[in-house]
Amino acid sequence: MKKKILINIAAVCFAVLILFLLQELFMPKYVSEIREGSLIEEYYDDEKDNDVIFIGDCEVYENFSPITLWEKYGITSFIRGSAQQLIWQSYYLLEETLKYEKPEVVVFNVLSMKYDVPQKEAYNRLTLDKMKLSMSKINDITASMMEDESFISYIFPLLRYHSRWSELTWDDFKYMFHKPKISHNGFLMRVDVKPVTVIPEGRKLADYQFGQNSYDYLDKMTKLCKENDIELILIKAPSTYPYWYDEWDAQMVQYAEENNLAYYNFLEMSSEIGIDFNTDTYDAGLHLNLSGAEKMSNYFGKILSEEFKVPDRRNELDTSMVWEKKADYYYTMKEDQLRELAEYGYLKSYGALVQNNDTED
Amino acid sequence: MKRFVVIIAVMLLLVGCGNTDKDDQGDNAGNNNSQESNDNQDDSADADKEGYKFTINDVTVPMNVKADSILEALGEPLESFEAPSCAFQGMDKIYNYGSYEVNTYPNEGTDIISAVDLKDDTVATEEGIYIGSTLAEVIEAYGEAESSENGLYTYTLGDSKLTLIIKNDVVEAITYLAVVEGL
Repeated sequence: MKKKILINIAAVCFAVLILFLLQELFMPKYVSEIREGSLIEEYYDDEKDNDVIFIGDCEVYENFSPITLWEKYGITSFIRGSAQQLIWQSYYLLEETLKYEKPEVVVFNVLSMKYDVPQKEAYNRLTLDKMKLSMSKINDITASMMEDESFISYIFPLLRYHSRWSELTWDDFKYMFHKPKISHNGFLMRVDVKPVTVIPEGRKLADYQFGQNSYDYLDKMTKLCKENDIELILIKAPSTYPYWYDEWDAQMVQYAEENNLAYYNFLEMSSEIGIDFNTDTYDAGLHLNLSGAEKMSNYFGKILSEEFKVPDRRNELDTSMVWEKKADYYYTMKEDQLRELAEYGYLKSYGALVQNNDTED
Repeated sequence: MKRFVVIIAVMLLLVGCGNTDKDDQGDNAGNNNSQESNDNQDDSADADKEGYKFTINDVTVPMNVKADSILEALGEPLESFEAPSCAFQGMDKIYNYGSYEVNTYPNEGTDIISAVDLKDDTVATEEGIYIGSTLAEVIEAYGEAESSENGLYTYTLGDSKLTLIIKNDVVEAITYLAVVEGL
């Protein structure tokens, strides 16, 4: 009888192990392509001792360099960004982050206020698949799912990805258990240049009012920060596209005033920051390149340091050693990108498109 | 041994039941903005395709069809803009022809028509509605709208939508849209 029970237990364990291995194999690796898919999980392996946490979409993970904030101001920061991160995803990521650490400041990019309902499964996956299982993740999934999606496939992604068996590449085996780090505390580096030549006019809207769902989550975010004695800073990053309407900006100005929050529209301050849209963007204005992100971070670091009194921690030996290593990796990647750009004309192994073939000065 | 075989068989059965009707991966799903659009990209079928179409200078622009031959027929735009998505491969593109704009999205390496915006009253829909038409004229041309919240009048036909912003009974904006998840 005892032997029978043991055999049954072994059989179940074996089955679970096989399922786990299959799941690890079939899940997209986000290393050679769509590198943004790796951003969420990179936080878990990092030191969780940050004074500033950024949350939001590509306008945070492409436009701010934590290494510059460290080198210029001694500010420790991490960007918990992901592609088209919706506001409820930002909220739940923040809620999860506060379980690991308590920053002085949280910075939220407000572009996602424009999305009041879930948009696209593929983007949901980039944020949710690699979140660790927690109540925050469960609530995030529930808030994010499209009508035709199943909750269980987010908990057991094998249910979603099993039929990738015919599309597996060497990457799927190579990065099954260990993946190289692709970001710098959540910052996705690009050194190439594609100048802004056109800023498309925004399509006329019937209603410029942000949706109630967006406001509800912004309220929750504000409340969560206040309860934890954290300064919440609202920003609009200096991206020229998607179009940021004056009517949207006015709503954020009003919200910030009513809730005693700071709001910075860095798009309006681009000249003051020193951003040159001929040289500081890699995709014609949607995202800043390394040069632009460093200018942006240099400018914002001063605000964080002087107005929000975020401490300079460069005199802490342990912290300095950790950030020195991060900076080494940052400059190694910068060199490698410049080399690749010179050799191929575009960032071949960094997810760039062939069209982006202008080089940084 | 039998137990192992049964468990593996059940596992594979369960795994096989999940979501087989969708794209197979979140990553590559991103390259496939729509499943439905795949079926609608045959050039020969474009003209007869059910849906709202914009016609200008004898060039018909349906939604969710390959863009290359249409853009060639429309000629050189005044300006164009390419917008890479946050994460996925390919570019959303906007071609500005002055009085109208044509938008495309990438799908498996091919640009597909995603929208046409009418910008002024020198161009009109096939049913004769232009910026400045009255609400009564719109209803006469298209019937009652499916929705008209906040002055946004929406009509759906096939995998296309026609949206009109109507304020004070006057059309202020006209847009043809492809019905595609996430656009």
